[in-house]
Amino acid sequence: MGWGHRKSAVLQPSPSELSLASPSVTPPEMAGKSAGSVRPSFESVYRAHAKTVARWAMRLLGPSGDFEDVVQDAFLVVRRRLPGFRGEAEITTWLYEITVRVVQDWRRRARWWSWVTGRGQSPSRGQMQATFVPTAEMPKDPLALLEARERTRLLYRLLDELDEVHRTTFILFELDGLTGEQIASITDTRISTVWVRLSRARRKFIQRMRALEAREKP
Amino acid sequence: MRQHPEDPILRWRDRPPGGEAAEDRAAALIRGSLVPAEPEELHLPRFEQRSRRWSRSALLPRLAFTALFLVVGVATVMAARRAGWLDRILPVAYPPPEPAPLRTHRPRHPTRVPAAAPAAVTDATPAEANETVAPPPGPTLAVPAAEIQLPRRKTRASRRTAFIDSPKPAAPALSDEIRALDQAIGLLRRDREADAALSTLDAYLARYPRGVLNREARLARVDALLMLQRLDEAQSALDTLPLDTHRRETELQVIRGELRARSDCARAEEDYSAVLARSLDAALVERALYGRGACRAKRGDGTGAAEDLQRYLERFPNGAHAAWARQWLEGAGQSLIKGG
Repeated sequence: MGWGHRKSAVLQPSPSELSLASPSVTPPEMAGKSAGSVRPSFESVYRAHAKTVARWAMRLLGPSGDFEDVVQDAFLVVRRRLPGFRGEAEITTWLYEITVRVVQDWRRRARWWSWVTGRGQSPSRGQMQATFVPTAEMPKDPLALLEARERTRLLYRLLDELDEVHRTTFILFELDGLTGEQIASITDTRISTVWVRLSRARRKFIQRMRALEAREKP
Repeated sequence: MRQHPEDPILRWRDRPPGGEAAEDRAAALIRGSLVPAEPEELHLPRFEQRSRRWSRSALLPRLAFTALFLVVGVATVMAARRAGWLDRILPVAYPPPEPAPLRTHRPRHPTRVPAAAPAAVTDATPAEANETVAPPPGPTLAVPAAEIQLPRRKTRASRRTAFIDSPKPAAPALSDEIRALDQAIGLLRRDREADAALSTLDAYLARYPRGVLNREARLARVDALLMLQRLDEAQSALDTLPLDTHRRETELQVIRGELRARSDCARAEEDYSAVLARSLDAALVERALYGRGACRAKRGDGTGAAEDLQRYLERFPNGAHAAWARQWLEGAGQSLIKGG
């Protein structure tokens, strides 16, 4: 299945999509959340993972996206697909896969909405934008915070200029810290494809950054 | 964030400074960016509430979209139908048995000119028709006179077709021809002046014996003769006119069959059979089926007549000749039983 069919894949998963990485390659953020030989109820999945999914959605969307909207859509998919979940993979990995695809779908809708209306308006129903905070090692003074906020805005502005495939791969690897194997499982591609995409994403990112710097140079 | 040992590529944020300047700047950008805050608790009741609200709110746009789609679709189909596009695209929706499709444009208000065409069939007595397969006696068994139909006015589609098909007035001689024929056809179709139209057509044919529109003129002349009830002349004109497969000419073939049936049922059957083999026009099929059945009955082919009339009743149970066909079949059935 190609990358272009992700939306339908979200709605109709194949068994292979549900079998993901082994626990040994589960990222630290995912590890130990839920292992799955027992099929959990929807309520328990929501209570245990809604915040995690929201955090992933924030990261994938950036500061301007409506993460609550994405969480809502993601869990609608979860509720529909949960009866088919056989526990062959970590449930967190499965949720991550769904979140990635829902985010991509949300961004497609946002682009379409922007094209139709001529405004940068998102198709959000809730308009709850993510809050981004400094890391522990960052200075906390207001000026540094302002600069960090501007860097974050610039980072996502550059990312938004990438193709959806490259953008996702870049975020999963560079920002979320997933391994190549995990990204390959989540995006249903070969690991070699992941490296190719990452390489292209980096090259395009650098190109966009240079172009932006050239434009803003006095 | 720790580099996975199996990953062959180092993350930018983990790379030591001193490499390519652009990558260093990109790494600094990533390192210096904010990270998502811990989200607030997302409660399940809120999820359920939003789901219900969204499913309700999604219903109205979907209904509106469906209604809009239907309206646009119906409007498009109606416009296409009015413009005649559907007639060009879709085949005529008559059921088989005849295999060859024929696109037809039926006039809305055909003028029915009663003709004594199948008089020979009408006169056929049971004894003359067939000794074993005799029609039931009585006046009700008389074959009703066939009706010869002339189009009163052209339909929109036929006007357009005529416009498209009409030759362009490239040369003066052709322009004169067109004008002369138009005048004659106007007299015939618009003014219903068959006499004047016939004179004009005769003058046209005399003036342009090899004219480009000779065939159209001869077809119009047949119409005029039929309108004037000069059936023998009409039959003679039709006998010398090779008929094409267009709807009007197929109709003329039926008329020729009806005219021939007065004296020569064998040749009439040829016309009827030719029409039945290619036409899907229900009105023409009805006339041809009835005419052939009646002719076969007259010629003593009781089995063939019974087949045709049975087919007629199956397709046109309320047709103009259905009552006659039923009575004939009842009588034929009795005769067949008697004859073994």
